[in-house]
Amino acid sequence: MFSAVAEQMGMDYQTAVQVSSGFAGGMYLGSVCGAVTGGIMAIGLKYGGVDPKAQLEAFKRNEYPPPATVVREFADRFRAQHRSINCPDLLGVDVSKPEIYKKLSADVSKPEALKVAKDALGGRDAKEVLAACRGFVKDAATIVSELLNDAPR
Amino acid sequence: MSEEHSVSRRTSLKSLGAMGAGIVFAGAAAIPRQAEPKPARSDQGKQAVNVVDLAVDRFGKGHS
Repeated sequence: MFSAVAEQMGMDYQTAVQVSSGFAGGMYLGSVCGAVTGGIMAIGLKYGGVDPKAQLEAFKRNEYPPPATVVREFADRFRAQHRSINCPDLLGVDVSKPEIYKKLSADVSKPEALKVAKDALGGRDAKEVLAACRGFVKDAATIVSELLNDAPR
Repeated sequence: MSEEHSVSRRTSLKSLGAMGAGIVFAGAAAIPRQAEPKPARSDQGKQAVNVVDLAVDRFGKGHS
């Protein structure tokens, strides 16, 4: 998700992939969805500043600096669609737990293994869980794409 | 060798040393770093620049 957006904004592919390689499963911590985190980074890439004084001045005027405003808009729109930005809430299961994460690659040729995996994944098979993730990536990318195209830097 | 001559010689040797260090340093800085190999991209060469499609396409291939 991040690499797709960042590359269009001039970041090289390798850096974009490397810097976002710890995002899966809510940063492997059962925290914020990696697609949302990637979106926030993409917003920072476009609207972020390097001048802390300007940020402080914005806060003094009771304003949020540009990246904060856009990040909030992004999170609000994502929440409006999915009620949460947190991976375990979105999936109904915490895939950051190693024992659960392993079930995402259960051997499809072994029915018993698939049944155990399905039980661990809240009654869904790995394909269904990953399809849900793909949907979150699509929705996050759509919102970010709209927000980044909305206003010039 | 007079004292004056000796001091002058030491000074010029110091200058040469400093120049040499400078040249070595500049030379090292001028050596181009070899570009690190970049991983092949499965979607390289594709025309699509639709960010949403690209993001979905890359999902599950180790990309966040």
